[in-house]
Amino acid sequence: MKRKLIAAILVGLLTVTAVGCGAKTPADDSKDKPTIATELAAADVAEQGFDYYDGAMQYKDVVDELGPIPKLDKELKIGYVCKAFENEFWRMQKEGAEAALKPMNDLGIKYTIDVRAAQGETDEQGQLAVLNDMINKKYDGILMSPISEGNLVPGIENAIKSDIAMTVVNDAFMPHIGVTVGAWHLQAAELAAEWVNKNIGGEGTVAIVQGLPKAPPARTRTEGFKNWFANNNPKVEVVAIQNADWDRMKAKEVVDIWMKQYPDLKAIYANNDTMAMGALEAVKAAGKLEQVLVVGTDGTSEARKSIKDGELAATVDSFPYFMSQIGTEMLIRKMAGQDVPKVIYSPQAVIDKTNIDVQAEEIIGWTGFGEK
Amino acid sequence: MKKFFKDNSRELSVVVAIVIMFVAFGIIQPIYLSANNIRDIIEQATIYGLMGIGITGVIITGGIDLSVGSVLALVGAVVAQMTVAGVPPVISIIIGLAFGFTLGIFNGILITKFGLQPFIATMGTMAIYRGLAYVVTKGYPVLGVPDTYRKLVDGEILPYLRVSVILFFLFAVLMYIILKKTKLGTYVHAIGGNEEATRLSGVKVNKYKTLIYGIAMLGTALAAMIQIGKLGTGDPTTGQGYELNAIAAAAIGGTSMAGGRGTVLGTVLGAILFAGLKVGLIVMGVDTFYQYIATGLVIVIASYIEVVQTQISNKTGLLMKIFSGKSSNKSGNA
Amino acid sequence: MEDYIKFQNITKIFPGQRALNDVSFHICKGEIHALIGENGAGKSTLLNILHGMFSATKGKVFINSEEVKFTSAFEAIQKGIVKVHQEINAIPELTVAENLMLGNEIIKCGFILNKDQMIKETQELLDKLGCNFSAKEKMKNLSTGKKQMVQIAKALYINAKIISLDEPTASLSDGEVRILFKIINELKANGITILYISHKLDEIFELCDRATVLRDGEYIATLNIKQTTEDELIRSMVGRDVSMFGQRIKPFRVEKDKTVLKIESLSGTAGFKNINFELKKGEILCFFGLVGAMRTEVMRAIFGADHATGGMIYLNGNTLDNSSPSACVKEGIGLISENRKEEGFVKNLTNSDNIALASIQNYMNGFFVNRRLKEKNAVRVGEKVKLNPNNPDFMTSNLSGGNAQKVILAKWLSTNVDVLIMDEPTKGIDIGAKAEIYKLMEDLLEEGKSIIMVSSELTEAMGMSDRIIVMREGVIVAEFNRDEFAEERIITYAVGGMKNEEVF
Repeated sequence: MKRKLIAAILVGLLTVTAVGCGAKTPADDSKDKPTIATELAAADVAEQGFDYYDGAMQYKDVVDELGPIPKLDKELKIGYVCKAFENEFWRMQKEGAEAALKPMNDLGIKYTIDVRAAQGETDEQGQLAVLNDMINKKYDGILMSPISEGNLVPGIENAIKSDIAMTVVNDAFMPHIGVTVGAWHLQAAELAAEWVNKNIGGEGTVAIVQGLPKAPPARTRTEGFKNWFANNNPKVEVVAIQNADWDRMKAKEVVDIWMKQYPDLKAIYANNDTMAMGALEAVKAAGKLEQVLVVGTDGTSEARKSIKDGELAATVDSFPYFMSQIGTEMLIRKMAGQDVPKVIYSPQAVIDKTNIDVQAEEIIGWTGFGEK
Repeated sequence: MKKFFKDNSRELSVVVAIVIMFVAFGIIQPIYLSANNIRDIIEQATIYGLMGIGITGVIITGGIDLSVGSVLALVGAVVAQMTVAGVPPVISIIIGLAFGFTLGIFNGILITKFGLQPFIATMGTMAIYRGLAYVVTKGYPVLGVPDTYRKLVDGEILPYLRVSVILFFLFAVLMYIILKKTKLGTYVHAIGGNEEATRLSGVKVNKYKTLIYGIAMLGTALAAMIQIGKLGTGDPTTGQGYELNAIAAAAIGGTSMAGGRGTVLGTVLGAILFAGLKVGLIVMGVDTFYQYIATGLVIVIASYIEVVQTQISNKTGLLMKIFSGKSSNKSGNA
Repeated sequence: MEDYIKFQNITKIFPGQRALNDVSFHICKGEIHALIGENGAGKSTLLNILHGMFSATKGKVFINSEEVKFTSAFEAIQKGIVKVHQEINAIPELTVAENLMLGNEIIKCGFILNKDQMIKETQELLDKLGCNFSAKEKMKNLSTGKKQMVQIAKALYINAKIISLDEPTASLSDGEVRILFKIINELKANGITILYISHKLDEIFELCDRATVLRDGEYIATLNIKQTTEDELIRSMVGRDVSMFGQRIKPFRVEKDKTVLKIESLSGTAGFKNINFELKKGEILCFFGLVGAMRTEVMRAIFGADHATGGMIYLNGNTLDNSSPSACVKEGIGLISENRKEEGFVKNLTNSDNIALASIQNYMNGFFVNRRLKEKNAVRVGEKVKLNPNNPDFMTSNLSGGNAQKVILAKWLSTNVDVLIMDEPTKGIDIGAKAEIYKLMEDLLEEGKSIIMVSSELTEAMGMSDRIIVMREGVIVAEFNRDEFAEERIITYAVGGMKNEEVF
């Protein structure tokens, strides 16, 4: 609902702006319309919601459809406006984006990449400043992971004016930009729900530790997890949902209470791994490690280590290291003139003790850029 | 007895609020009054309580310390690294306390020697200390804090009694003694009431002000070390926004942001009220969005009660009459 | 209009004390009515009730035969009842015009301040009052006297019918006082009723028509000034005969050959320079001058409260470490500041804590402050200064001005300082407390201490001192030994050759 509202407001605003600034006559007005359509290339995605968009494609299908990456006629300057390096997830994104450079160059695709980030996940203005700097330095293409749905809009408008190609990598969805590569939060939640359902034997009570409720991933993951059981197996009941602000200690405190309030709890699903680790501590403190399965999201190194040690039950890994590589690939395809779909879901998988030692490449079937 | 009621009217009203809260939640959700749940409330009050008790000392001088949330992360990360590296737990704790003290003293020096306003100075160190926490951990949580350490700070030594709660209690007593019984305590109150008059009485205001910033940070250092004990992990991202909760605990407990007034007991009770409210809302399964509203309302209402109390006691001495039976007749010219 | 303002059976009870007890009297329209009594007699409380700051516990106030019950000062001001405050409250960063119009700004186009008009109207008002400063001046640049003028102008601007002035001359120079009196008489001529609180009896005799005397919250009498004498007034105020106060009672004990404190060419950023003097053992040395002569600044520099830019200070022949007040206290110098509330006592501390503030190391029991020792000392010293109530648990901020000053004195008596600097020690203090403070000063001399007193009251300066140093605009302009004291000459030096110089 909120997405639709935002999209409607954006369309409305842009129309008003266009009419107000340029158009004096009805004839002019009609001429302006195609421009708006281009600017809001993904308006229909916003309309439906990123997580529920029916035109979205899985990465593998995109590659099958578009074929090999076309050669570029010149060396490109690419920038990546990342979110915040305090968080391991975004550091992985950075490393992935940088790691893509060599195999791409080996394929004869020449470019440079500059990855920068805001100062913390709340530094919305700082992130905009990074984007504007890249626009001023005339980068050919820019990848971005916006902090919010609004903070980069002024920069994006400048970039559109300067004809800079853009691709969004994960999280906030920007209708202005034609291509978004991201983890399908709904899918992550459903993967988690499916895994939990299987591992608790198809019945019992479960609970969800939610992230900061203003963040779309927190909402979608929570909803998706809850709805999966409602639709597929009503014998599993979600008895509690509480916010812990993505914070480890707060998650522990919430679960401390649950351990007494819901003594039969079978599983806890946390919207990220940091909260999952806090929840896990509470479960351990209550001596219920055998009974309560804790499932996280993101696949941080900490979570993987805990799975290896037999404590955390599972995490839904969205492989940020590969997500940014896919983002880079899609941006290059777009700049080379290919018709890239509006939404590309990057691969995700549940990691548990059965596949913790398997290489990520094998789990998601990553074969590099070359042989496709 | 009369005097006790008069001197502690603020604490009493928080106790009344806590009792009302327990009765209300208890009626709606009887599980709320279970021993386990009450233990949870006390345990969850420790982190904000420890930070709040420390900050109370600072606020009494008329200052503020916004850097406590970052110090929670920094001290936690450093101590976690030490214990992981094999430094004996007791030595890690001593170093952690000394480190926290030093960070607080640094705040104090910025405020006294360099004359920065406390709000600005500690807003700066809030960012500096947070940055240091990221630098020393390279942004990764410090994993694998050994069990010997965890047992030492958060082990259950008796049923229903954790070391962390005892540490909370001990620090509260320590701060109570410092604020009530020592020279430093007298000076802290005096500085908050009238810094210039205190200075002109020949008190080394800068020295004692700096000192209280350091001592206050001991509470946060302790909170940091308890938190890594509870979590087994030193997380450099933790503690964001905790300073506001710590200040809220102090404010609910009757600490005046203008300085000069505040008690350790009030802050402890404020932290318990805060934790009790949070636990109650969770037990009742209240939607997150409404939890924000409820927490905010408690802070606003608590402050308003304070205002009303002051007005009443100024106007008619009603509160005194309620608690002491009749207004005493201290002669004196006013 | 026989009873324009009528107080009927007013009683006001504060926690722990009865400030007013069944007070009834009336004030005529267009008169200047003095409210007198010792500090703590209830004058300020009565004014606060009239002005809506407090409500009376019992009793009624009538204005024009109509009962009034203001719930706030604002309400009273709207009815034309305005108080010119004892502590001037003005916003320092705003201009005179902005301060004057605060809350009554002139607006144009719906929301924009019409500054030109505001300045014009303010200037007219100031000119009418005979003030020679600009409406565009920032408030912080004005002297206390000028600030007071702004407040009076403000009262006129909002068409006040009743104006009360609480100790308006406390920090004014003689010239400023003359102008103030002229204005008050003009207000009276315009039919405005004035309530006037002052401790200075000569002012009351010069200015007022009638005076109501309060004592310990009780109504004593309303006297017609023209038919009464100063003695009668004092007797009704203090309830006892007061012999000549402000005179030395005990023998002089200056030891001329023993220099305690020696100041050599002291100068400071405030603007004073080349200050040279010596303080002898057992001496009361008075610094006399007008407000703005920088006497306070010199004292603060000696005490280390402000840093001096040059000069040497010797205490008992040795160089004094005056890097900070704490160093000075250690060396044996104490300072009683002019501003009791801002710099003298700590409002949230009890008497015993305030008294212990400079000497806490004397009551330590290892690491802890021994409460018993601390309170014992407070009671002992409190007795010496005749503190009322001499209760160590009493909040100093609830004491009257005179008693608060005694707490501050008690603080220094608890230390072993040799030199006590007293800056306007009796400012705003009632006659009874004044006499007690004078006596204490003599007691201190007896104990072998020496005193520097800053005073703006010539009777006090001439009565109490062994020597008077006159300062003007940051320099010492004259020095008088006791046998050379002459009112005319001292004033002449203080004002710079012209007595009652136009200082506005």
